[in-house]
Amino acid sequence: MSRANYTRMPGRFRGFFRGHSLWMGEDHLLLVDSTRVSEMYQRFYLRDIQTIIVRKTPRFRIPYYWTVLAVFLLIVSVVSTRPFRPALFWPSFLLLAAVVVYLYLASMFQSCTCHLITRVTKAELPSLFRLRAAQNFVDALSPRLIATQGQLAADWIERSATLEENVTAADRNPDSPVELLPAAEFSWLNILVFALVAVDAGLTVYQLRTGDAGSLSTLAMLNLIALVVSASFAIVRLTRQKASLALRAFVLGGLLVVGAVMYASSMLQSIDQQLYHQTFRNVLQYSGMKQLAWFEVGADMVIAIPGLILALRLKEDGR
Amino acid sequence: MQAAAGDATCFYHSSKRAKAPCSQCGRFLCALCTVEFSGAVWCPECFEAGRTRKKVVNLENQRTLHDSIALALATWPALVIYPSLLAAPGAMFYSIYYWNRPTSIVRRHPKARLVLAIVLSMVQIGLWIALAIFVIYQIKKGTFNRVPR
Repeated sequence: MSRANYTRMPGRFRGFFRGHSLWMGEDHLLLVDSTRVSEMYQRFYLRDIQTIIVRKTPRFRIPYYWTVLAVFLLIVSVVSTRPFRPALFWPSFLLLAAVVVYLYLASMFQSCTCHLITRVTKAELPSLFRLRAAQNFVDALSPRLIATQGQLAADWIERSATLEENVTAADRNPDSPVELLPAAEFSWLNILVFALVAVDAGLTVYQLRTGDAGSLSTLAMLNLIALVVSASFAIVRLTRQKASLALRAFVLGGLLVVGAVMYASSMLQSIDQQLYHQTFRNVLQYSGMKQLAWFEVGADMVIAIPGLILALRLKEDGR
Repeated sequence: MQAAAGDATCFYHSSKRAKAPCSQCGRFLCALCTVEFSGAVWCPECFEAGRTRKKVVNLENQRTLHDSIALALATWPALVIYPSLLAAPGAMFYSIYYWNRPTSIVRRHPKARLVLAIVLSMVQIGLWIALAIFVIYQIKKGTFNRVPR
């Protein structure tokens, strides 16, 4: 027999060179790790599966088709700049921005790791890297597990607590830490993020004062890139720490403010160019741009000052 | 358990009482030698044979995807045109040579890629033959000898 009956389970990852998928057999779960020319199989029998752990965490796993789409849109955007063809440039540019934002948000806030535990093994299920797929997988697998292993009794927690073999490590050693996530601790990375937000406000004020947006545009762009990179790392760090929700919200807020202002400024330029056929070398001359810039300054300060206070308070707390 | 007089004994341990026969070869097996797998009893020898000779799908842990290789051979070189002159016949040969080899365990239509590879190879070979005939015809007609004005 060269082929068994398998049905596909939710969750699949297809990279350029590697792919992962999960399949349900008659009595086991099959994890397929495939390259383009071969497949490796790992089986988990339903009677052996003890636990499935889904842990929400940022993960930057991008399937190849998203990368292909993003590169295609980037090429179209670049090609349509010379000569400038608005009908081609703006749809591709906005679609590219939407794809990038979606991938960023999905990676940061809708991603997870999934582990399958048996009595003797702990295996990661690499095909499950998005929360929705992991939830669908658990929903699909649970009835099969119950059919094989039977329903857990209503008081299984109380009963398992009395069994020596099921006592947790924390019960055996009361001095060991019970919390899975470490406490939030001071990091210069958080300070850097809020400092960059404040720098963004400062650069914008300078541009408004001089009336020339081009004077510091390179510096502003470098500041923006540094902010995106450092804020991404900071959010990942803070997600893996306990009780740092407020700080994480401020970091995310800084990122969103800068992103939203960039998007809004490109929209304002687009409106002037397409409706009124006006093109200015100085970006501040577009209608509504100065108001937007002042809004950015205010929003930046609203984010940066409390954020800095929160981040520095962690240092004072000695955490 | 030790076998008493008149008891059936294990094929591998003549002093042990047989517990069950192997579902593949029928040899009697003691409790130590039985391997319960996929709802049947196996002797160690049949179990090992099933794994190494890939006769039992549930024991396999790796497979080479010959159908994907054939399809890649029939498509990627065609994108840059000239390599397909060699790759198309190669893909055809590869598809036929590995026709009976097992492919992915989980694929629903195991021959689909091989069929597609053969069809694509035939189309490419057909196009190359048509091009060759056209060129020969034009040479005979003397088209390439004419001096443009």
